[in-house]
Formats: sequence, C-alpha cells, structure tokens
Amino acid sequence: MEIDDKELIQSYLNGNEVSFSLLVKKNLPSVYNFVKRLYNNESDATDISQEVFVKVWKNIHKYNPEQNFKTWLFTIARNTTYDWMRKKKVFVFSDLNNVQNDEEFADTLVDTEPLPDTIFEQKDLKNKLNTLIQTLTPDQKTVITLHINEEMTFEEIGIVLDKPQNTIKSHYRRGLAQLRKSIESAPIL
Amino acid sequence: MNLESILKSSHHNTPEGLDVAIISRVQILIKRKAQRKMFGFGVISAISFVGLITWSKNLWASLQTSGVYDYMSVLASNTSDLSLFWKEILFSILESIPFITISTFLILLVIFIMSSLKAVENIGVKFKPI
Repeated sequence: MEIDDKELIQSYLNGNEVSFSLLVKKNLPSVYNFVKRLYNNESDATDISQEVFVKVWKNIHKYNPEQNFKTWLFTIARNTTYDWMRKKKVFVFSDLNNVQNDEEFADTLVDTEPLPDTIFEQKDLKNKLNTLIQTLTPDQKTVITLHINEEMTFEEIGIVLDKPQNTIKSHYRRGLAQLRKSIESAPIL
Repeated sequence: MNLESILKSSHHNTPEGLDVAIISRVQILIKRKAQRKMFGFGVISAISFVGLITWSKNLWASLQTSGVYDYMSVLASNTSDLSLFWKEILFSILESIPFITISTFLILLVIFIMSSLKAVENIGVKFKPI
C-alpha cells in the first residue's frame, strides 16, 4: 500500500525520520525528470534535485497540509531550477513568451494526431525527443512535463508557475505544436 | 501513437544512488543543525549554572536576614498559637519572604534545566550514526 505524501510529512514532523527518506524515494524520479527536462545537463540536474529536497526539508515545517503537495514540491523544483539557470547564465525565455491569443490555443488541447510512422521507426526517438524538448521555453517545458508526466491539471500547473490557466493551456498547446514541427523537420530524425 | 504518449514514455531515469546522496546530505544538515543547537544550549546552560550558584548564595543570605526562619521556629515550638493567630502569622511570613530573589532563582533554575535537556537532546542527534 502506498503511503500518501501528506501522511509521510506528518509522520516526519512527529519524529519518524524514515518518513523523509520515503518521501524522497517516492518523489525523486518525478523531480529529477522534471529538472532534467527543464535543464538538460545530467550533472546539474543531479545537483538541482538534491537542492530541491534540501529546500523541502528546510521548509517542511511551513508546509500547509491543505495545500496540494505536488504543487508545493514542483513550485520549489521550478524555482530552484530557474535560480540555477540564472546563476549559470542560461537565459530564461519565459518572460518573452507571447501570451496573446491564449484563448485560441486553449480551446483544443487534445493532441490525437499521429506522427509520421517513419519517425517512430527510429530506435532512439525518445532520446532525440528529449533533445528537441530543449528548444522549448522553460515554461513550455514545465507545462508539458507536469501535465503529461505528472498528470497535473492546468489549474495546478497555474499555481506552480503563478500564471492564469489560459496562459498555461497556451504554453501547452504552443509547446506541443513547436515540438511536432521540430520532429517533422529535424534532420536528426 | 501520438506525441503525448511518446513524451510520457520518454521519462528520464534517476541516476543510481541519488536518493541515498540526498538523504545523506539532509542527515549531515540535521547533524550540523544539532551541533549549532548543542553549543548554543550548552552555553546557555553553563551561564545559567554559574548564575544559579551565585544567586543561590544571595538567596541563602536573603532568607537568613528576612526573618522567615524565626517565624518558622516560633510555629514549630508553639503550635497552639497557630489556630488563634494564623492570619497574622501567615501575613508576617508572606511579608518576610524575599519573592524577587526566589523568583530570580527559580527562573535561573528553569533556564538551566531546559537548556541542559535541549543540549543533551542535540548531543544525541549529533552523535547518532547515519
């Protein structure tokens, strides 16, 4: 039986140190994947993931149990990664995102269109896809990763990025569209 | 197969041992925090202990000059007066007790006990094996 994150936090605050280890083990794959998607450098992604959980530990007393744990965790992960990227002088493009016509993009969000079969014949498509993802803006990567991999709602992602839902939907739609375009025209594929 | 399902399956695998590294780092931070608290409470404990010793001499002198002992000895030797003049005796004892000196002594005692307990608690955390 899987223990709920909130129960683990409560248990840790009650003095059970093992609970924090369980919390790390349970959430590390999601956090690492998220960080690596945002900043495609293995060594830095490892350091950033460590930093995220250190911040979680430092702020665990401030966590409000009424708050969604995933939202809280990924807000820390996102802020830590952005801070790291700023320190490393990796430009964060999010401020330059064009949020005009958000509603146009927000209307149809289901991506059912299959990609050309020839593309899927490539063995290392997933790796190449991870490379192509790096062409997206940090906010687009955040939205796509959290929605697809973490199955978070646009509302929850909006809390993580501190942006309205329509902007989040727009990032998602634009990101997928750009990714599709990149895949179809990428010479590496 | 659409783009979303490929993205879902192209999950980055966590490097081996990263969870252990994170837990170890947090445990080191816990120990550092415990060390800081241990020294902090240790210093408070030592200062309050010195204060307690100094103040206990002061308290002893105050009690001797206050006359509390005289009232007590009168009560012990003549119990029949207690039922007749208990109010007067009680007020006299209360008036003679050096409250400020006793309160200061008790405050120092509480600070000493609490800080000592906290210091010992953090010694346990600091030297607990990882």
